[in-house]
Amino acid sequence: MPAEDEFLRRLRRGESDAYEALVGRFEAPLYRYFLASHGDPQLAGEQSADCFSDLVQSLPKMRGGAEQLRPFVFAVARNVRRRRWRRRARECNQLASVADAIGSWPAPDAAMEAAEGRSRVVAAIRSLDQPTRDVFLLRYVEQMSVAEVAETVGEPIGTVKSRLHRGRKRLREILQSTSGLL
Amino acid sequence: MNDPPESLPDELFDLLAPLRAVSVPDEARVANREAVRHALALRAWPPWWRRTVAVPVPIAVAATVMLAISMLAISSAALLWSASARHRADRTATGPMQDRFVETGAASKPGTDYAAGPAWSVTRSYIQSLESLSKTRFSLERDAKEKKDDS
Repeated sequence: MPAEDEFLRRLRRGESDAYEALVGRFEAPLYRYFLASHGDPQLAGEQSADCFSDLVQSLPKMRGGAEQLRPFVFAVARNVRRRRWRRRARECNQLASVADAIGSWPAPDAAMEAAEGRSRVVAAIRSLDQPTRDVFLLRYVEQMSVAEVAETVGEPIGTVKSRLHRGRKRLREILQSTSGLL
Repeated sequence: MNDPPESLPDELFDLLAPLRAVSVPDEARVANREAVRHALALRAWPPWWRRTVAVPVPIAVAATVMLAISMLAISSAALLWSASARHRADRTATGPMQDRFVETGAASKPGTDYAAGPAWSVTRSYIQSLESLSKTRFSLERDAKEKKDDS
């Protein structure tokens, strides 16, 4: 991965083109991660911006090669989310607007139905405890490998696997009990 | 990438698909780029309290040694000053006793030993008391004699 290593070197040097590429690569995953964590699109946007700002400061200190970049970015994202420095109260009241943020679907009836389904999924994910939610989102929404997830959250692979199992089980229960989506 | 035991059942995987297709709002895109631009500018020109300067090692070592010597000198001076202040305070506290010695006479002469003062003072007091007693005795005897003469 020489190209990736060179990309990382340029990031460490602080080249603006490299950061433009980094934003292009990670802004959607980070936004999804934040949005699925709390359901507030505006807060998700602010947290994404904070995350990129933190990355500019912390990337020169990153250890490891290019393969560590994605776990590192999401580890920074977890720290940004943990801060919860603004509008914590809003987190609970924004589920209705998640549907608007998640995709723009043309047909009104079908869109409403789909939006309702999506908001139910987000609500179900939010009902998971925070560590389980983190590993669940990273594994199944961002499709990271179990090893990458373990590195991101700083936990052993066995713990991550058990959290994933618990998350799947819990999510299935929630979705079955609430709407019969499955 | 996909580990079979941790893979998601198809129905759950499909359910999460819309979440994977979330699009980032334009204002969030703009904010992300603005945040990066601002952070890069800060990294290039940090505020003065976060700036660093390159100092040659010999100069840094010399400065450190000088700082250590200065600190040592200051602390020694402070110790000496506090010791002398304590000494002065002690002398002030014993002052009235010395004045009493001066009053007693022998100790007031320059070059005399202050340690002789209390003994001399006691002796003098004793002599003075003897004198006053003898005076009293004489006056009583005189009064008695006068009364006898009158009668």
